[in-house]
Amino acid sequence: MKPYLSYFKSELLVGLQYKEAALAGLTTQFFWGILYAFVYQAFYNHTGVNTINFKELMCYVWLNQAFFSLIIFILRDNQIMEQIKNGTVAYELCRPYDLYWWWFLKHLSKRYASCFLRCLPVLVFAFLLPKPYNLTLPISIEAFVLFLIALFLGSIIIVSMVMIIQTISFFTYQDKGITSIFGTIGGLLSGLDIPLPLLPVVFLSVTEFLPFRLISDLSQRLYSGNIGIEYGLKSIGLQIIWIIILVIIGKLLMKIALRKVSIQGG
Amino acid sequence: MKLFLKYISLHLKISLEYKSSFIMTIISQTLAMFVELFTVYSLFLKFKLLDIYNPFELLLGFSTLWLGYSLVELFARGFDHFSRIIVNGNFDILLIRPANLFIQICGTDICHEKIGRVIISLLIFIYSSIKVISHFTIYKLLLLILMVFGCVVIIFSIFIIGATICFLTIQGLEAVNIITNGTRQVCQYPMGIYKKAVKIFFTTVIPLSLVNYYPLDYLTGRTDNILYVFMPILTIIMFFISKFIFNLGLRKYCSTGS
Repeated sequence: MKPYLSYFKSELLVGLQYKEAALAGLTTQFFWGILYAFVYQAFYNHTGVNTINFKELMCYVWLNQAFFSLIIFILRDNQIMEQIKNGTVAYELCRPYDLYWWWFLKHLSKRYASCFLRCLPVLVFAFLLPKPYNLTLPISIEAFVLFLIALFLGSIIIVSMVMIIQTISFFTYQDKGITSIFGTIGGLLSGLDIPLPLLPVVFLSVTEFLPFRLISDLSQRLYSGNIGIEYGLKSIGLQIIWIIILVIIGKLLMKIALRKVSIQGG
Repeated sequence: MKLFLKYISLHLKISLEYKSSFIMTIISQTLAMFVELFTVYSLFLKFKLLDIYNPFELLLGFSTLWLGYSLVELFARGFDHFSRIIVNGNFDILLIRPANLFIQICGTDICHEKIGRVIISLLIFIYSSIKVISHFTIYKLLLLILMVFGCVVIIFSIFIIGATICFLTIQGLEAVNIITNGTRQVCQYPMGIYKKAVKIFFTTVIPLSLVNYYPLDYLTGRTDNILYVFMPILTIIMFFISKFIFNLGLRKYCSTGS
Protein backbone atom coordinates (compact mmCIF):
# COMPACT_ATOMS: atom_id res chain seq x y z
CA MET A 1 0.00 0.00 0.00
CA LYS A 2 2.81 2.36 0.94
CA PRO A 3 4.48 2.63 -2.48
CA TYR A 4 1.11 3.37 -4.05
CA LEU A 5 0.47 6.19 -1.61
CA SER A 6 3.85 7.81 -2.10
CA TYR A 7 3.45 7.46 -5.84
CA PHE A 8 0.10 9.21 -5.60
CA LYS A 9 1.73 11.99 -3.59
CA SER A 10 4.62 12.51 -5.99
CA GLU A 11 2.33 12.54 -9.03
CA LEU A 12 0.13 15.05 -7.22
CA LEU A 13 3.12 17.31 -6.58
CA VAL A 14 4.12 17.12 -10.23
CA GLY A 15 0.63 18.08 -11.27
CA LEU A 16 0.58 21.04 -8.92
CA GLN A 17 3.51 22.55 -10.80
CA TYR A 18 1.41 23.47 -13.80
CA LYS A 19 -0.04 26.64 -12.39
CA GLU A 20 -0.19 28.56 -15.65
CA ALA A 21 -2.18 25.87 -17.37
CA ALA A 22 -4.57 25.96 -14.45
CA LEU A 23 -4.91 29.71 -14.75
CA ALA A 24 -5.78 29.40 -18.42
CA GLY A 25 -8.30 26.74 -17.49
CA LEU A 26 -9.82 28.98 -14.84
CA THR A 27 -10.90 31.67 -17.27
CA THR A 28 -12.53 28.99 -19.37
CA GLN A 29 -14.42 27.68 -16.37
CA PHE A 30 -15.59 31.16 -15.30
CA PHE A 31 -16.72 31.98 -18.77
CA TRP A 32 -18.62 28.78 -19.43
CA GLY A 33 -20.33 29.03 -16.07
CA ILE A 34 -21.53 32.54 -16.85
CA LEU A 35 -22.53 31.52 -20.35
CA TYR A 36 -24.65 28.62 -19.13
CA ALA A 37 -26.20 30.90 -16.52
CA PHE A 38 -27.16 33.30 -19.32
CA VAL A 39 -28.67 30.66 -21.57
CA TYR A 40 -30.63 28.90 -18.85
CA GLN A 41 -31.83 32.22 -17.46
CA ALA A 42 -33.36 32.96 -20.84
CA PHE A 43 -35.33 29.74 -20.61
CA TYR A 44 -36.36 30.21 -17.00
CA ASN A 45 -37.63 33.70 -17.84
CA HIS A 46 -40.19 32.01 -20.01
CA THR A 47 -41.39 29.33 -17.60
CA GLY A 48 -40.11 27.06 -14.86
CA VAL A 49 -39.74 23.31 -14.79
CA ASN A 50 -40.82 21.00 -12.02
CA THR A 51 -37.68 18.87 -11.96
CA ILE A 52 -35.19 21.56 -10.91
CA ASN A 53 -35.46 25.24 -10.00
CA PHE A 54 -33.08 27.96 -11.08
CA LYS A 55 -31.23 28.15 -7.75
CA GLU A 56 -30.52 24.43 -7.78
CA LEU A 57 -29.57 24.63 -11.41
CA MET A 58 -26.98 27.32 -10.75
CA CYS A 59 -25.43 25.15 -8.01
CA TYR A 60 -25.34 22.32 -10.52
CA VAL A 61 -23.65 24.46 -13.18
CA TRP A 62 -21.05 25.98 -10.86
CA LEU A 63 -20.14 22.72 -9.14
CA ASN A 64 -19.67 21.16 -12.57
CA GLN A 65 -17.31 23.99 -13.47
CA ALA A 66 -15.43 23.92 -10.14
CA PHE A 67 -14.77 20.18 -10.17
CA PHE A 68 -14.45 20.05 -13.93
CA SER A 69 -11.16 18.17 -14.04
CA LEU A 70 -12.45 15.53 -11.63
CA ILE A 71 -15.46 14.63 -13.68
CA ILE A 72 -14.65 15.39 -17.30
CA PHE A 73 -14.13 12.39 -19.56
CA ILE A 74 -10.96 13.20 -21.41
CA LEU A 75 -8.05 14.89 -19.71
CA ARG A 76 -5.99 16.47 -22.39
CA ASP A 77 -2.48 15.10 -21.94
CA ASN A 78 -2.31 11.40 -22.06
CA GLN A 79 1.00 9.97 -20.93
CA ILE A 80 -0.11 6.38 -20.73
CA MET A 81 -1.03 6.35 -24.42
CA GLU A 82 2.32 7.92 -25.21
CA GLN A 83 4.04 5.18 -23.28
CA ILE A 84 2.22 2.54 -25.27
CA LYS A 85 3.16 4.25 -28.53
CA ASN A 86 6.86 4.84 -27.86
CA GLY A 87 7.50 1.64 -25.99
CA THR A 88 8.45 2.97 -22.56
CA VAL A 89 5.57 0.91 -21.28
CA ALA A 90 8.22 -1.80 -20.98
CA TYR A 91 9.67 -0.03 -17.94
CA GLU A 92 6.27 0.13 -16.34
CA LEU A 93 5.85 -3.60 -16.88
CA CYS A 94 9.09 -4.29 -15.05
CA ARG A 95 7.91 -2.64 -11.85
CA PRO A 96 6.96 -5.00 -9.05
CA TYR A 97 3.56 -3.41 -8.64
CA ASP A 98 0.16 -4.08 -10.05
CA LEU A 99 0.08 -2.09 -13.26
CA TYR A 100 -3.64 -1.55 -13.08
CA TRP A 101 -3.55 0.29 -9.75
CA TRP A 102 -0.33 2.04 -10.73
CA TRP A 103 -1.94 3.70 -13.73
CA PHE A 104 -5.17 4.12 -11.88
CA LEU A 105 -3.39 6.27 -9.31
CA LYS A 106 -1.43 8.13 -11.95
CA HIS A 107 -4.64 9.17 -13.58
CA LEU A 108 -6.46 9.90 -10.35
CA SER A 109 -3.64 12.06 -8.99
CA LYS A 110 -3.53 14.07 -12.19
CA ARG A 111 -7.20 14.82 -11.85
CA TYR A 112 -6.92 15.80 -8.20
CA ALA A 113 -3.89 18.01 -8.79
CA SER A 114 -5.71 19.86 -11.55
CA CYS A 115 -8.81 20.10 -9.39
CA PHE A 116 -7.00 21.46 -6.32
CA LEU A 117 -5.62 24.31 -8.37
CA ARG A 118 -8.93 25.21 -9.95
CA CYS A 119 -11.79 24.49 -7.65
CA LEU A 120 -11.26 27.11 -4.96
CA PRO A 121 -11.08 30.19 -7.22
CA VAL A 122 -14.12 29.01 -9.15
CA LEU A 123 -16.08 28.31 -5.97
CA VAL A 124 -15.20 31.70 -4.45
CA PHE A 125 -16.04 33.47 -7.69
CA ALA A 126 -19.35 31.63 -7.93
CA PHE A 127 -20.26 32.49 -4.32
CA LEU A 128 -19.62 36.18 -4.90
CA LEU A 129 -21.77 36.50 -8.00
CA PRO A 130 -25.00 38.54 -7.77
CA LYS A 131 -28.08 36.83 -6.49
CA PRO A 132 -29.83 34.50 -8.90
CA TYR A 133 -26.62 33.44 -10.62
CA ASN A 134 -24.59 32.54 -7.57
CA LEU A 135 -23.61 29.29 -5.92
CA THR A 136 -25.51 28.95 -2.64
CA LEU A 137 -24.48 27.09 0.49
CA PRO A 138 -25.35 23.39 0.67
CA ILE A 139 -28.87 22.65 1.79
CA SER A 140 -27.76 20.86 4.99
CA ILE A 141 -24.65 19.42 6.61
CA GLU A 142 -25.73 15.84 5.92
CA ALA A 143 -26.26 16.71 2.28
CA PHE A 144 -22.82 18.29 2.13
CA VAL A 145 -21.14 15.23 3.60
CA LEU A 146 -22.97 12.99 1.15
CA PHE A 147 -22.01 15.37 -1.64
CA LEU A 148 -18.32 14.96 -0.78
CA ILE A 149 -18.59 11.18 -0.60
CA ALA A 150 -20.53 10.99 -3.86
CA LEU A 151 -18.08 13.28 -5.62
CA PHE A 152 -15.12 11.20 -4.46
CA LEU A 153 -16.75 7.92 -5.51
CA GLY A 154 -17.73 9.60 -8.77
CA SER A 155 -14.10 10.40 -9.52
CA ILE A 156 -13.23 6.74 -8.87
CA ILE A 157 -15.95 5.66 -11.32
CA ILE A 158 -14.73 7.94 -14.09
CA VAL A 159 -11.12 6.78 -13.66
CA SER A 160 -12.11 3.12 -13.75
CA MET A 161 -14.06 3.84 -16.94
CA VAL A 162 -11.08 5.62 -18.47
CA MET A 163 -8.89 2.65 -17.54
CA ILE A 164 -11.13 0.37 -19.60
CA ILE A 165 -11.03 2.70 -22.59
CA GLN A 166 -7.28 2.98 -22.32
CA THR A 167 -6.80 -0.74 -22.14
CA ILE A 168 -8.78 -1.07 -25.34
CA SER A 169 -6.30 1.26 -27.01
CA PHE A 170 -3.66 -1.31 -26.12
CA PHE A 171 -5.14 -3.40 -28.91
CA THR A 172 -5.63 -0.64 -31.46
CA TYR A 173 -2.58 1.57 -30.78
CA GLN A 174 -4.65 4.69 -31.27
CA ASP A 175 -6.96 6.25 -28.81
CA LYS A 176 -8.17 9.46 -30.40
CA GLY A 177 -11.27 8.06 -32.05
CA ILE A 178 -12.50 5.81 -29.25
CA THR A 179 -11.93 8.29 -26.46
CA SER A 180 -13.63 11.13 -28.27
CA ILE A 181 -16.72 9.05 -29.06
CA PHE A 182 -16.76 7.86 -25.47
CA GLY A 183 -16.31 11.44 -24.25
CA THR A 184 -19.17 12.78 -26.36
CA ILE A 185 -21.65 10.15 -25.25
CA GLY A 186 -20.45 10.26 -21.66
CA GLY A 187 -20.70 14.04 -21.53
CA LEU A 188 -24.37 13.85 -22.42
CA LEU A 189 -25.23 10.92 -20.15
CA SER A 190 -23.43 12.30 -17.11
CA GLY A 191 -24.97 15.76 -17.17
CA LEU A 192 -21.84 17.66 -18.15
CA ASP A 193 -23.34 19.05 -21.36
CA ILE A 194 -26.72 19.80 -19.91
CA PRO A 195 -28.00 19.09 -16.38
CA LEU A 196 -29.84 15.79 -16.50
CA PRO A 197 -33.07 17.10 -14.90
CA LEU A 198 -33.54 19.27 -18.00
CA LEU A 199 -33.62 16.28 -20.34
CA PRO A 200 -36.81 14.49 -21.46
CA VAL A 201 -38.26 12.01 -18.96
CA VAL A 202 -37.92 9.06 -21.33
CA PHE A 203 -34.21 9.71 -21.60
CA LEU A 204 -33.82 9.89 -17.82
CA SER A 205 -35.23 6.42 -17.28
CA VAL A 206 -32.43 5.15 -19.51
CA THR A 207 -29.68 7.00 -17.65
CA GLU A 208 -31.04 5.94 -14.26
CA PHE A 209 -29.33 2.56 -14.36
CA LEU A 210 -26.15 3.55 -16.17
CA PRO A 211 -23.04 4.47 -14.22
CA PHE A 212 -22.66 7.84 -15.97
CA ARG A 213 -25.07 9.82 -13.83
CA LEU A 214 -23.25 8.61 -10.71
CA ILE A 215 -20.12 10.50 -11.74
CA SER A 216 -21.25 14.05 -11.14
CA ASP A 217 -25.00 14.38 -11.52
CA LEU A 218 -25.65 12.62 -8.22
CA SER A 219 -23.26 14.71 -6.11
CA GLN A 220 -24.32 18.00 -7.69
CA ARG A 221 -27.98 17.36 -7.03
CA LEU A 222 -27.33 16.20 -3.47
CA TYR A 223 -25.59 19.49 -2.72
CA SER A 224 -28.52 21.69 -3.65
CA GLY A 225 -31.14 19.38 -2.20
CA ASN A 226 -32.63 18.54 -5.57
CA ILE A 227 -32.69 14.90 -4.45
CA GLY A 228 -33.30 13.70 -0.91
CA ILE A 229 -30.86 12.08 1.53
CA GLU A 230 -32.50 8.69 1.31
CA TYR A 231 -32.31 8.50 -2.47
CA GLY A 232 -28.74 9.77 -2.19
CA LEU A 233 -27.73 6.97 0.16
CA LYS A 234 -29.24 4.39 -2.18
CA SER A 235 -27.34 5.87 -5.11
CA ILE A 236 -24.09 5.85 -3.17
CA GLY A 237 -24.59 2.12 -2.66
CA LEU A 238 -25.09 1.86 -6.41
CA GLN A 239 -21.87 3.78 -6.92
CA ILE A 240 -19.92 1.21 -4.90
CA ILE A 241 -21.45 -1.65 -6.86
CA TRP A 242 -20.52 0.00 -10.15
CA ILE A 243 -16.97 0.65 -8.98
CA ILE A 244 -16.53 -3.05 -8.20
CA ILE A 245 -17.95 -4.06 -11.60
CA LEU A 246 -15.86 -1.55 -13.55
CA VAL A 247 -12.63 -2.39 -11.73
CA ILE A 248 -13.13 -6.12 -12.32
CA ILE A 249 -13.77 -5.53 -16.03
CA GLY A 250 -10.76 -3.23 -16.24
CA LYS A 251 -8.42 -5.67 -14.53
CA LEU A 252 -9.60 -8.59 -16.67
CA LEU A 253 -9.13 -6.57 -19.84
CA MET A 254 -5.68 -5.51 -18.78
CA LYS A 255 -4.71 -9.09 -18.05
CA ILE A 256 -5.67 -10.05 -21.60
CA ALA A 257 -3.96 -6.98 -23.01
CA LEU A 258 -0.71 -7.60 -21.19
CA ARG A 259 -0.58 -11.13 -22.48
CA LYS A 260 -0.66 -9.76 -26.01
CA VAL A 261 1.44 -6.68 -25.52
CA SER A 262 4.25 -6.10 -27.97
CA ILE A 263 6.73 -3.41 -27.23
CA GLN A 264 7.02 -0.64 -29.79
CA GLY A 265 10.34 0.96 -30.51
CA GLY A 266 13.84 -0.30 -29.95
CA MET B 1 -7.29 29.04 -55.95
CA LYS B 2 -5.21 26.35 -57.61
CA LEU B 3 -2.78 26.63 -54.74
CA PHE B 4 -5.55 26.11 -52.24
CA LEU B 5 -6.79 22.98 -54.00
CA LYS B 6 -3.27 21.64 -53.88
CA TYR B 7 -3.18 22.25 -50.13
CA ILE B 8 -6.50 20.44 -49.73
CA SER B 9 -5.38 17.35 -51.57
CA LEU B 10 -2.11 17.20 -49.64
CA HIS B 11 -3.86 17.38 -46.29
CA LEU B 12 -6.40 14.80 -47.38
CA LYS B 13 -3.56 12.40 -48.15
CA ILE B 14 -2.14 12.94 -44.67
CA SER B 15 -5.47 12.24 -42.97
CA LEU B 16 -6.11 9.13 -45.03
CA GLU B 17 -2.86 7.60 -43.86
CA TYR B 18 -4.62 6.87 -40.57
CA LYS B 19 -7.85 5.57 -41.98
CA SER B 20 -9.64 4.05 -39.02
CA SER B 21 -8.70 6.91 -36.73
CA PHE B 22 -9.90 9.36 -39.38
CA ILE B 23 -13.27 7.65 -39.69
CA MET B 24 -13.69 7.38 -35.93
CA THR B 25 -12.97 11.07 -35.54
CA ILE B 26 -15.52 11.98 -38.20
CA ILE B 27 -18.11 9.89 -36.39
CA SER B 28 -17.39 11.42 -33.03
CA GLN B 29 -17.38 14.96 -34.44
CA THR B 30 -20.75 14.40 -36.05
CA LEU B 31 -22.04 12.77 -32.91
CA ALA B 32 -21.03 15.84 -30.91
CA MET B 33 -23.17 17.96 -33.21
CA PHE B 34 -26.16 15.71 -32.68
CA VAL B 35 -25.66 15.88 -28.94
CA GLU B 36 -25.87 19.67 -29.17
CA LEU B 37 -28.99 19.42 -31.31
CA PHE B 38 -30.47 17.04 -28.78
CA THR B 39 -29.82 19.44 -25.89
CA VAL B 40 -31.39 22.32 -27.80
CA TYR B 41 -34.43 20.19 -28.55
CA SER B 42 -34.79 18.93 -24.99
CA LEU B 43 -34.58 22.43 -23.53
CA PHE B 44 -37.34 23.61 -25.86
CA LEU B 45 -39.39 20.56 -25.01
CA LYS B 46 -38.86 20.92 -21.28
CA PHE B 47 -39.73 24.61 -21.20
CA LYS B 48 -42.71 24.11 -23.51
CA LEU B 49 -41.36 26.52 -26.09
CA LEU B 50 -42.15 24.32 -29.07
CA ASP B 51 -45.65 25.81 -29.27
CA ILE B 52 -44.15 29.25 -29.78
CA TYR B 53 -41.24 28.32 -32.01
CA ASN B 54 -41.70 26.20 -35.09
CA PRO B 55 -39.34 23.24 -34.65
CA PHE B 56 -38.23 23.49 -38.28
CA GLU B 57 -37.26 27.11 -37.83
CA LEU B 58 -35.25 26.03 -34.83
CA LEU B 59 -33.58 23.39 -36.98
CA LEU B 60 -32.89 25.87 -39.76
CA GLY B 61 -31.25 28.39 -37.44
CA PHE B 62 -29.21 25.65 -35.83
CA SER B 63 -28.04 24.09 -39.06
CA THR B 64 -27.12 27.43 -40.64
CA LEU B 65 -24.85 28.17 -37.72
CA TRP B 66 -23.25 24.73 -37.63
CA LEU B 67 -22.83 24.63 -41.39
CA GLY B 68 -21.00 27.95 -41.21
CA TYR B 69 -18.82 26.82 -38.35
CA SER B 70 -17.87 23.49 -39.82
CA LEU B 71 -17.10 25.04 -43.21
CA VAL B 72 -14.77 27.58 -41.66
CA GLU B 73 -13.16 24.99 -39.42
CA LEU B 74 -12.70 22.77 -42.44
CA PHE B 75 -10.87 25.34 -44.55
CA ALA B 76 -9.47 27.93 -42.17
CA ARG B 77 -8.17 25.84 -39.32
CA GLY B 78 -4.80 27.49 -39.89
CA PHE B 79 -6.12 30.68 -38.32
CA ASP B 80 -7.31 28.73 -35.33
CA HIS B 81 -3.83 27.27 -34.85
CA PHE B 82 -2.12 30.48 -35.82
CA SER B 83 0.02 30.63 -32.68
CA ARG B 84 1.76 27.42 -33.75
CA ILE B 85 2.79 28.95 -37.06
CA ILE B 86 4.18 31.97 -35.27
CA VAL B 87 5.88 30.08 -32.45
CA ASN B 88 7.88 27.79 -34.71
CA GLY B 89 8.84 30.63 -37.00
CA ASN B 90 7.07 29.25 -40.04
CA PHE B 91 5.16 32.47 -40.48
CA ASP B 92 8.30 34.11 -41.90
CA ILE B 93 8.37 31.52 -44.66
CA LEU B 94 4.77 32.31 -45.54
CA LEU B 95 5.56 36.02 -45.67
CA ILE B 96 8.33 35.73 -48.24
CA ARG B 97 6.39 33.48 -50.60
CA PRO B 98 4.81 35.27 -53.57
CA ALA B 99 1.32 34.01 -52.86
CA ASN B 100 -1.73 35.26 -51.06
CA LEU B 101 -1.04 35.24 -47.33
CA PHE B 102 -4.57 34.31 -46.29
CA ILE B 103 -4.67 31.30 -48.57
CA GLN B 104 -1.34 30.15 -47.26
CA ILE B 105 -2.44 30.43 -43.64
CA CYS B 106 -5.62 28.54 -44.43
CA GLY B 107 -3.54 25.91 -46.19
CA THR B 108 -1.33 25.13 -43.22
CA ASP B 109 -4.03 23.00 -41.67
CA ILE B 110 -7.15 21.68 -43.28
CA CYS B 111 -9.34 19.77 -40.93
CA HIS B 112 -10.97 17.08 -43.06
CA GLU B 113 -12.57 15.54 -40.00
CA LYS B 114 -15.18 18.29 -40.18
CA ILE B 115 -16.49 16.97 -43.48
CA GLY B 116 -19.02 14.82 -41.63
CA ARG B 117 -20.45 17.85 -39.91
CA VAL B 118 -20.55 19.81 -43.17
CA ILE B 119 -22.52 17.12 -44.96
CA ILE B 120 -24.93 16.39 -42.13
CA SER B 121 -25.63 20.03 -41.34
CA LEU B 122 -26.10 20.76 -45.04
CA LEU B 123 -28.67 17.98 -45.24
CA ILE B 124 -30.48 19.31 -42.18
CA PHE B 125 -30.27 22.81 -43.66
CA ILE B 126 -31.88 21.74 -46.93
CA TYR B 127 -34.52 19.58 -45.25
CA SER B 128 -35.57 22.23 -42.74
CA SER B 129 -35.61 25.02 -45.32
CA ILE B 130 -37.98 22.97 -47.49
CA LYS B 131 -40.22 22.49 -44.44
CA VAL B 132 -40.08 26.15 -43.42
CA ILE B 133 -40.67 27.74 -46.83
CA SER B 134 -44.19 27.14 -48.06
CA HIS B 135 -43.65 28.44 -51.59
CA PHE B 136 -40.25 29.06 -53.09
CA THR B 137 -39.31 32.26 -54.84
CA ILE B 138 -35.99 33.19 -56.36
CA TYR B 139 -35.42 35.68 -53.55
CA LYS B 140 -35.86 33.06 -50.87
CA LEU B 141 -33.38 30.81 -52.60
CA LEU B 142 -30.95 33.69 -52.82
CA LEU B 143 -31.45 34.42 -49.16
CA LEU B 144 -30.67 30.82 -48.19
CA ILE B 145 -27.37 31.01 -50.03
CA LEU B 146 -26.57 34.39 -48.54
CA MET B 147 -27.31 33.10 -45.04
CA VAL B 148 -24.66 30.42 -45.31
CA PHE B 149 -22.29 32.86 -46.98
CA GLY B 150 -22.80 35.47 -44.25
CA CYS B 151 -22.34 32.91 -41.51
CA VAL B 152 -19.05 31.78 -43.02
CA VAL B 153 -17.90 35.39 -43.31
CA ILE B 154 -18.64 36.18 -39.67
CA ILE B 155 -16.95 33.11 -38.25
CA PHE B 156 -13.98 33.53 -40.54
CA SER B 157 -13.68 37.10 -39.28
CA ILE B 158 -13.71 35.92 -35.67
CA PHE B 159 -10.92 33.49 -36.53
CA ILE B 160 -8.90 36.26 -38.16
CA ILE B 161 -9.26 38.53 -35.14
CA GLY B 162 -8.28 35.64 -32.89
CA ALA B 163 -5.18 35.08 -34.98
CA THR B 164 -4.32 38.77 -34.79
CA ILE B 165 -4.16 38.52 -31.01
CA CYS B 166 -1.35 35.98 -31.49
CA PHE B 167 0.82 38.71 -33.01
CA LEU B 168 0.88 40.37 -29.61
CA THR B 169 0.86 37.38 -27.29
CA ILE B 170 2.73 34.79 -29.42
CA GLN B 171 1.08 32.11 -27.30
CA GLY B 172 -2.36 31.00 -28.34
CA LEU B 173 -5.04 32.25 -26.04
CA GLU B 174 -7.70 30.13 -24.45
CA ALA B 175 -9.86 33.25 -24.67
CA VAL B 176 -10.11 32.98 -28.45
CA ASN B 177 -11.43 29.46 -28.15
CA ILE B 178 -13.97 30.65 -25.64
CA ILE B 179 -15.21 33.31 -28.04
CA THR B 180 -15.62 30.98 -31.00
CA ASN B 181 -17.20 28.10 -29.07
CA GLY B 182 -19.12 30.33 -26.69
CA THR B 183 -20.68 32.25 -29.54
CA ARG B 184 -21.81 29.03 -31.13
CA GLN B 185 -23.28 27.86 -27.84
CA VAL B 186 -25.35 31.04 -27.46
CA CYS B 187 -26.41 31.43 -31.09
CA GLN B 188 -27.58 27.89 -31.66
CA TYR B 189 -30.73 28.91 -29.81
CA PRO B 190 -33.00 31.42 -31.57
CA MET B 191 -32.25 34.98 -30.52
CA GLY B 192 -35.90 35.44 -29.54
CA ILE B 193 -35.40 33.79 -26.17
CA TYR B 194 -32.75 36.28 -25.04
CA LYS B 195 -32.98 39.72 -23.54
CA LYS B 196 -32.60 42.84 -25.65
CA ALA B 197 -28.93 43.46 -24.73
CA VAL B 198 -27.92 40.04 -26.01
CA LYS B 199 -29.87 40.59 -29.23
CA ILE B 200 -28.18 43.93 -29.82
CA PHE B 201 -24.75 42.42 -29.20
CA PHE B 202 -25.34 39.68 -31.75
CA THR B 203 -26.67 42.15 -34.29
CA THR B 204 -23.92 44.75 -34.10
CA VAL B 205 -20.71 43.30 -32.62
CA ILE B 206 -20.94 39.72 -33.83
CA PRO B 207 -23.83 39.97 -36.31
CA LEU B 208 -24.83 36.31 -36.27
CA SER B 209 -28.51 37.13 -35.81
CA LEU B 210 -28.41 38.71 -39.26
CA VAL B 211 -27.83 35.27 -40.76
CA ASN B 212 -29.68 32.78 -38.60
CA TYR B 213 -32.48 34.70 -36.88
CA TYR B 214 -33.93 37.74 -38.68
CA PRO B 215 -33.89 36.24 -42.21
CA LEU B 216 -36.18 33.46 -41.00
CA ASP B 217 -38.98 36.04 -40.84
CA TYR B 218 -38.72 36.50 -44.60
CA LEU B 219 -38.44 32.79 -45.32
CA THR B 220 -41.61 31.98 -43.42
CA GLY B 221 -43.44 34.88 -44.99
CA ARG B 222 -43.94 36.81 -41.76
CA THR B 223 -42.55 39.83 -43.59
CA ASP B 224 -42.34 40.80 -47.24
CA ASN B 225 -39.66 43.40 -46.77
CA ILE B 226 -37.15 42.76 -49.54
CA LEU B 227 -34.36 44.29 -47.45
CA TYR B 228 -34.27 41.12 -45.34
CA VAL B 229 -32.87 39.24 -48.31
CA PHE B 230 -29.78 41.38 -48.43
CA MET B 231 -29.26 41.52 -44.68
CA PRO B 232 -26.54 38.83 -44.60
CA ILE B 233 -24.45 40.90 -47.01
CA LEU B 234 -23.84 43.38 -44.21
CA THR B 235 -21.54 40.83 -42.61
CA ILE B 236 -18.93 41.78 -45.21
CA ILE B 237 -18.30 44.89 -43.12
CA MET B 238 -17.10 42.71 -40.28
CA PHE B 239 -14.75 40.90 -42.65
CA PHE B 240 -13.15 44.15 -43.80
CA ILE B 241 -12.78 45.38 -40.24
CA SER B 242 -11.09 42.16 -39.18
CA LYS B 243 -8.84 42.21 -42.21
CA PHE B 244 -7.87 45.77 -41.38
CA ILE B 245 -7.06 44.77 -37.79
CA PHE B 246 -5.04 41.80 -39.06
CA ASN B 247 -2.95 44.02 -41.32
CA LEU B 248 -2.44 46.41 -38.45
CA GLY B 249 -1.14 43.54 -36.34
CA LEU B 250 1.02 42.34 -39.20
CA ARG B 251 2.88 45.62 -39.18
CA LYS B 252 3.65 45.17 -35.48
CA TYR B 253 4.80 41.57 -36.01
CA CYS B 254 8.30 40.63 -34.86
CA SER B 255 9.66 37.32 -36.01
CA THR B 256 10.21 34.57 -33.47
CA GLY B 257 12.37 32.48 -35.78
CA SER B 258 16.10 32.26 -35.35
